[in-house]
Amino acid sequence: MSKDQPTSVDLSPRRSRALPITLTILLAAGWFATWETQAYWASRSAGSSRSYYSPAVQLARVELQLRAVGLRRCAARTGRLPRTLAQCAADMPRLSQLLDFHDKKPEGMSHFYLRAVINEPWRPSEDPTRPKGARLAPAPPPSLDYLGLPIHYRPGAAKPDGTWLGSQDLLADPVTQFLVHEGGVPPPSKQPFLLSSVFLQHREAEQREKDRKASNIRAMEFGGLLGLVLAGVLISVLWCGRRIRAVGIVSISLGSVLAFLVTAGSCMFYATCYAMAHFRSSSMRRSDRMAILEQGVKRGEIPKEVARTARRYIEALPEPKER
Amino acid sequence: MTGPRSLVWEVTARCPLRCSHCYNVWTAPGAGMPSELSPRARLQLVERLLPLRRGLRALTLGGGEPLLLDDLEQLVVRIHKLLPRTRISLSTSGLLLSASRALALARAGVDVVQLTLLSARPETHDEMVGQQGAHEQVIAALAAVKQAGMLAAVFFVATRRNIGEWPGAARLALALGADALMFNRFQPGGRGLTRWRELTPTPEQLDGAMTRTDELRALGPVQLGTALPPCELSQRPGKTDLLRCPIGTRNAYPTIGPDGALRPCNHWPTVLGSLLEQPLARLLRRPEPGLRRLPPECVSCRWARRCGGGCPAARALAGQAIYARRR
Repeated sequence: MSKDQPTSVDLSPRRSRALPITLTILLAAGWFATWETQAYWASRSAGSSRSYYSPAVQLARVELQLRAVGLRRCAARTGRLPRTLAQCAADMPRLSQLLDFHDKKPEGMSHFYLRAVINEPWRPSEDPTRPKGARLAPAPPPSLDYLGLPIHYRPGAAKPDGTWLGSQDLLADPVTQFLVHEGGVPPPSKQPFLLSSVFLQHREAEQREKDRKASNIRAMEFGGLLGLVLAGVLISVLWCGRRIRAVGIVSISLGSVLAFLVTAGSCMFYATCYAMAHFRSSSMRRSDRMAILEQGVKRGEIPKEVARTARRYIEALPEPKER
Repeated sequence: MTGPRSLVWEVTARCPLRCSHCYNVWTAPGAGMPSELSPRARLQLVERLLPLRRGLRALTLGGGEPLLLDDLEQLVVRIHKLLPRTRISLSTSGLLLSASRALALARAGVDVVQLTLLSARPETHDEMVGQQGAHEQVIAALAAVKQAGMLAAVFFVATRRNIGEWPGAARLALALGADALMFNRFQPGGRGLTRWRELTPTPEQLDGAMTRTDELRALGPVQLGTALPPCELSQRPGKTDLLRCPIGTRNAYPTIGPDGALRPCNHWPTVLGSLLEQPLARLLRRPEPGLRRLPPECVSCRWARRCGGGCPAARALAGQAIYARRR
C-alpha cells in the first residue's frame, strides 16, 4: 500500500479536532439556550401573576371595605352620607363594634381610612336596596385605586363563578363575618383562618397551579440539561479517539464547573439582616475610635454633648487585645 | 430536607417603644397582639430546634423587646446548651440593657447584641422611637455590650426623616466600638405601613447615603442589611451590595413568633403553623405563594435575576410597586 493512499479507518487530524470543538460549542449553545429559556419562563410566569397579599393586608382591606359598605348602607337609609359609622351605631350595632376597634387605632389612622372611604364613588352594584336577581352593573375597570385595594375585594369585581362581587358577598365572607361577630381582629395565630376566605382560596388555587407549572418547567429544563451533558459525554466517548475523548470530557467538565461557579456566584449575596454569623470583633484601637468621633464632631455630624458622653465611654472601654 | 442556617425568634410582642418604622407584623393596621408563650413552653420550643443543631449558624432573639422577659438568661443558657454551634444574637432597643444585665447575658451565652441607632442626634432618634432619653440609653447599652465582651452590631434604619444623619450615626457607633454596622433601607411593613410613603427615602437620598457608605467603609465594617435594588440607585451598586431576598434558600431566616407560630421571615405575616405542634422541617415545606415571584415592573429589568425584585414582603404589604421609582 502506498504511503499516499488514505487508510480505511481515517481519522484525519483536522476532522478529529473539529468534532469536539463543534460538540463543545453546540453544548455550550444548548446550555445557554436552556438558561435563557428558564429566565424567559420565569419572567413570563412572574409577569402573568398578580402579587400575593398577606392576611394582614387583606384584613385591613376588608375592614376598609366593610366601613365603606356600612357608610353606604347608612346613606341609603338616611339619604345622606354620614361622616362616621358612629352615626349609624343605632341601626348597625355589629358594625359599630368594628368602628370601636378602629377608633382605638393610633391617631390619624381612622381619618386616613375615613377619607379614603368617603372619597370612593358610589357604585350601583353595592346598593343594598337592589332587588334580588336584578341585573348587575358592569364591572369596574381592573385597576388599583389610590389605596391599592385589590380588585377582587372591591364591590363590583368579578367572583370566581363569573358573577360580580357585591356588598352582600363581602358581608358573607368568613373574614368579615369574624370581624362583625367578634368585634375584633383574629390574633396572628389564627391567621391561617383568614386564608380560608373563599376569594383567597381561589387566588391560592391559581397560585398553586402556576407554581406547579413553573416547577414542571424547571424539572423539564433540568432534565434537558442533564440529557445534553450526558449526550455530549456519550458522543465523545463513542465517536472520538482517546485523545479527543479526553478533550471532550475536559471541556464538558470545565463547562460544568464554570456553570456551577456562575450560578453560585449569582446567588451568593443575600440580604444579611439577621445572618450575623460571620462578622468578627473589631480590632480598632481606642485612639482610632477617638479620631473617628472627633472627625464626626468636626464635620458637624455628631453633636458636642453626645461626643462628650461618648468620650467617657470610649475611655472606659478596654483595648481590643485586652478583651 | 436541609434546615435553615439562620432563625429569628420574636420571644415577646411587648415593647416600650412606638417606632414609626416598626415592621413587627402585629403592629400592622388591623393586626392583633399575639399571645406569649410561658417560660416552660419556650424551653420546650428550644427542644424543637434540636434537629437543626448541625446546620443552624445564627439564632436571633428579638421581639418586641426581648429584655422584658425575666427568664431570658435561662432561655439563652438552654439554647446555648442544646445548640452549641449556633451564634446567639439578641436584637434589642437597648432601653433595658444595663451593664449588669449585659454581663449576665454574655455569661449565659449571647454572642452578639444588635442595637438600633437611628441618628447621632438624640432628638431625631427619640422622635423616631417615640421615647425621650432612648438615644442616651442606646449609647450606654452599646458601651455595656462592649464592656461585657460581646460583639455589637448597630443597625440604622434609613427613612426619609433620618437618612441624612447616617454618617453621623455610623461614626458614633464605630467610635463606641461597634463591630458591624448595618444600613437598612426602610421597608413597608407593620406600623410602618400607615405612613410608608412618608417614611420611604427618595432615590436621591439613597444615592447620597450610598456614596457616604463607600466613604464609611474605609473606617470599619459597613454592610447593607436589606435589599436595595439597583433601580433605586443612579449608579450600579458594588458587587457585595447587590443583595437579594434569601427567602426560599438556606440563607433565609424563618421567624418564630411570640406564640410559637412560624413565618417565612420576620417581615411576612403569613403563619406557616405552630412550631409547638409540627416540626420545623415540615412547616418550611409548605408553599409560599408569591414570595419568590418577580413583580411585573421588574420582569424586563436586566438586574432582575440577580436582585430578585427587592423585598417581596414589603412589596406585597404596601400593595403596590415600591421600587423602580427612577423609571
